[in-house]
Amino acid sequence: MTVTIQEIRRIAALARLRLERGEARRMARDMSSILEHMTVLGEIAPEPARTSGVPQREGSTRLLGDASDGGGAPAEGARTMPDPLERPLSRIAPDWRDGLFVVPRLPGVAGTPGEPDGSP
Amino acid sequence: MKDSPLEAVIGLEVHVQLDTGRKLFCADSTAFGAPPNTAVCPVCLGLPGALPVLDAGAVDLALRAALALECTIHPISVFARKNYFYPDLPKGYQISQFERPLATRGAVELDNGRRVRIRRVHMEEDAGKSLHDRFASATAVDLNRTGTPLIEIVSEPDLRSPGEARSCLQHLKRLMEYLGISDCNMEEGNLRVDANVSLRKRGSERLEASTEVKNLNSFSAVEKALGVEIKRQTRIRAEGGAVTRQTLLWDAAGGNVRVMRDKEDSQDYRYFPDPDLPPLVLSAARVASLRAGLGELPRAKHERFRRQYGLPAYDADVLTSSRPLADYYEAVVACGRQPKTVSNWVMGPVLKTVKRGIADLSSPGLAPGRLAELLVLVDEGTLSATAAKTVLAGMARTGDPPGVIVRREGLMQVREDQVLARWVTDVVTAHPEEVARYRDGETRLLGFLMGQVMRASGRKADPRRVNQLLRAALDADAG
Amino acid sequence: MTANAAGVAARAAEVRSGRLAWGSMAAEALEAQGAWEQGAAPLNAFIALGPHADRQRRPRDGPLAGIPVAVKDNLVTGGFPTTCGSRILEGFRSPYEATAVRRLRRAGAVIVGKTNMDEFAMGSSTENSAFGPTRNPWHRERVPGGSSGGSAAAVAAGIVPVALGSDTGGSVRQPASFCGVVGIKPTYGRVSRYGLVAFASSLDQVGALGRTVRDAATLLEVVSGHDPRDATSVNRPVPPLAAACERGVRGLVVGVPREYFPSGLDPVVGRLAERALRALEGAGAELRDVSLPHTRYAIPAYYIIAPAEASSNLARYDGVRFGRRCRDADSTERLYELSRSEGFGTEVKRRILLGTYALSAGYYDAYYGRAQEARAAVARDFERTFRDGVDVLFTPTSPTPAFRLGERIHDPYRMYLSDVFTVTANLAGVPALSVPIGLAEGLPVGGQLMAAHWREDTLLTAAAALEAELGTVGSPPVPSGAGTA
Ligand SMILES: [Zn+2]
Repeated sequence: MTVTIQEIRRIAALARLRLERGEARRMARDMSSILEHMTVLGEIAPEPARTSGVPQREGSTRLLGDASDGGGAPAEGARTMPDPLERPLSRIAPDWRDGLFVVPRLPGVAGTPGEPDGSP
Repeated sequence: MKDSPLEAVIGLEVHVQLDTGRKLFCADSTAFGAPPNTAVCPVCLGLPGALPVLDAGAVDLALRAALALECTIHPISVFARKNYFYPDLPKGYQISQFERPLATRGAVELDNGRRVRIRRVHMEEDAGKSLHDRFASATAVDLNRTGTPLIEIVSEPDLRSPGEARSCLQHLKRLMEYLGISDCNMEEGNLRVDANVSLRKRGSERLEASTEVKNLNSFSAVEKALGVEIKRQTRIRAEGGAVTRQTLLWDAAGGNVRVMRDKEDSQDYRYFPDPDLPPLVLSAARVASLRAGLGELPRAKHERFRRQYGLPAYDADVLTSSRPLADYYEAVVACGRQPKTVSNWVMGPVLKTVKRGIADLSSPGLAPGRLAELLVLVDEGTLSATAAKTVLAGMARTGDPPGVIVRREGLMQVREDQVLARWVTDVVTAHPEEVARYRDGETRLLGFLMGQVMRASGRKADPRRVNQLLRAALDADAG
Repeated sequence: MTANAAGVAARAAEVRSGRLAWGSMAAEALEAQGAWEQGAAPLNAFIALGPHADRQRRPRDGPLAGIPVAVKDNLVTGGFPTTCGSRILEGFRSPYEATAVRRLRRAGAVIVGKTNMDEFAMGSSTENSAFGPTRNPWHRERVPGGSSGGSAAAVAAGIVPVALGSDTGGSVRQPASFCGVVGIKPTYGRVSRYGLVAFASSLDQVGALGRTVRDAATLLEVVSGHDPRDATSVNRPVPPLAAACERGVRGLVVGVPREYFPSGLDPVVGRLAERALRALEGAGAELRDVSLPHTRYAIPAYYIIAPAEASSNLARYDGVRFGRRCRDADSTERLYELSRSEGFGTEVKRRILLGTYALSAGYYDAYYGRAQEARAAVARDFERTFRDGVDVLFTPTSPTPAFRLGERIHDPYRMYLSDVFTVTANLAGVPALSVPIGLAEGLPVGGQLMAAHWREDTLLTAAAALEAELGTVGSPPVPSGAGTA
């Protein structure tokens, strides 16, 4: 097998998926067999100018609130206002208190009062 | 460090919030202090199906910063996804630039003349805020900040001391403020600094394991934390140990650094080009027009102000801290007023008025021509300096020209000898004791008597002439 | 069914003129839907139905006035839940609406329901739905294809005349082929993706399904056009698409790529494709043998790129802000793992793992990087062919007619091969369409047409000619009431 169960576990951890023992074994087997079919990609000669995953056909990315560059006047509904939320977040969020989304305390966070913390 | 065989090798990573007023990929406001989760929309909430669209204003500000840092601007740059899970990262990835940033290879020059190379300048979106102290055993998430436009400026490890790092940061801050790119408010997190530090044998070019110090949210934190970390690394090496690659958190209260995570188990961010955003293609014309709009940079302007106007360094510093201020100063001088006088007035009463929020530099009452008119009145002796300050306040408040206010409030300086002489005589008569002591040689009492005359005149008397008349009166009767 | 017999344009005209009540066709659609749910083998084409037409915001005129339209459940829709066929979004109601759906409403359409699909559009059979598989109306023990199987089945069953789907690797065309209806995937950038729940952003396009070429064209015309909310949507005028159906194929150069007629092709499919080519020739088109040599890299490239993008696109389903949350988690990390593991089905997990693997340190160049090269090579094949004077390519849509329920569900790679003829158009971003070309033992077979970027009009011209020459495949037998299957 090209993909080991250990590798599947590492990948599953990155993707925040929990796999039961049998599931991990089955995934390792499936992925090994799928990846075997991918080896033909090695025959492709590399092209130097790869810039993006998007098929690049028409100019550059369109810019919000801009007509000078990047293609095209901001036509219909050009965004000057944010898209409104037609349902309150309190009805969408699984746990919502005092206008805040709530999750169980992050591991390793002491909860230093008054010190908001951002992403690492 | 001076005599040590080791030298510090420091690089900075600076995040600067762009002052566009709106988010990078949606139209929400970035104003500080909105109630939590109110400045949000499907895009920055990462709702299913929502898509980012790049804000043109942010691109212009980022380009301006890159140009001011003498960078090479790349005609094509690519937004990538940095994938990781965190509650305040709604999409599960941050949109940033990775392999192909907006700009690379720039430089800034420090006050000591050293050039610090800039490795890259790229655009990215900010994450939200996790609040750990709000609820017991739970973390609360506010996504107002999510999607706020940032640039990250990465320097080469060209800094050799904490002082240099501080100076470099000050320089960057000044540049961003001057160009209107960011207000760089460090308390609100609009300027955030991480530093990479390592030590090496003086003169060596070898790259040593470095640590990254985070949470440097003031200039003094940068200087102090780097000092502490350099000492820590010096001690480790003196004890024969090896510095390991780590991410450290500066604890300002404790005055020390603590380990946040080991770099060895660094995350696998799985960067790849964001398929929702085609490459950012910049036309040469757009870049050229921004370059032209950049004008003279603060450093050059500072030097010119000192040379051309003969200003002290302090005055030049203050006056070139923002472009509107520098332009204002020059406009007043251009009306024919003496540069140092104008500097005193602008740095003093004018800025005070602006800071109090009574008016700003573009208010009609403070128009450069108006200020010049006011200064003419002072120079001519029509107005006393004190009265002129009152007039300035009136100009700022009402927008009326100085002449009108002077007439309306009767602030015209009194210079007729007849009138002045009467006030002088009155004061001399009313203070026989002080007059006698003055005549006995206690000449400093002249100031007191002057003050009495000015007060009697309602501060309208021409002080120069009063001084002459008073002296004459005191000395004459003595003879 | 009477409502759906005439073309969409004609029925909308009747509504606009007042001869037909605005909500009447929607009411008939809901009735027909009910009939198909009777018996031992319900169609299960819909995940959600209603609200009643009268409760929908709308103008009462427009090119789709009063036309009942079914919408794939990965387009966020006001007044309906949007689940993407996944437990993780069970009951989720979007606070905003997709651009394509807004345009439907603006055109006067009535949205009758959200159609079943493979979870997050990952599948080719609509068996990977958390809400049970959809059955093929032509043969209820067979799959309708996927992932837009619910939309294709709803149109084939005569419940609605037209439906929206999405096509990432063939998800509109392959089910259209299996169900005997027309399905078109426009040029990448033609229809806004704003509000289309992302599977693989660089490949996804909203597509139109219809009982006839004209109906599909009418629907596509309504949803097409630039949208400032989607940076990959292109600001180009939309040519009159319905009108293109009238043009005729005289002088049109039809390329026949040999890579799409392999020896392993189902012989019946091969015979029907051959017959379709003769029909095009008979109508005045010129046939030309061509080669798209990089076709064999398409499936491997697709099954790297699509899962890679999906692994990132699906990171937002973390139980924090919306959707399913596991209530037992005592830490955020557990919350992520449990919510996602309970919420996602096996195929979705498999693709997230595959994509995460392909992007992870040490494998990026070998997989994702190479796949991008392959994608570029596939795109160059198309560019060259169209530059050399070919107007449209003709191929089978799928190597086989509809397969049996359960037949491929345990063999992922074999399932992936269902897309072998369709993924190329997504990789290259060109428009492609599937049109019925006949029945093989009672099962519909579709022919695929592909054209250069922005030439949906050419596709429709050729498809309308095929439809005229070959006749339609008709409709599956209508269930007469409870007990029929
Ligand atoms: Zn937003």
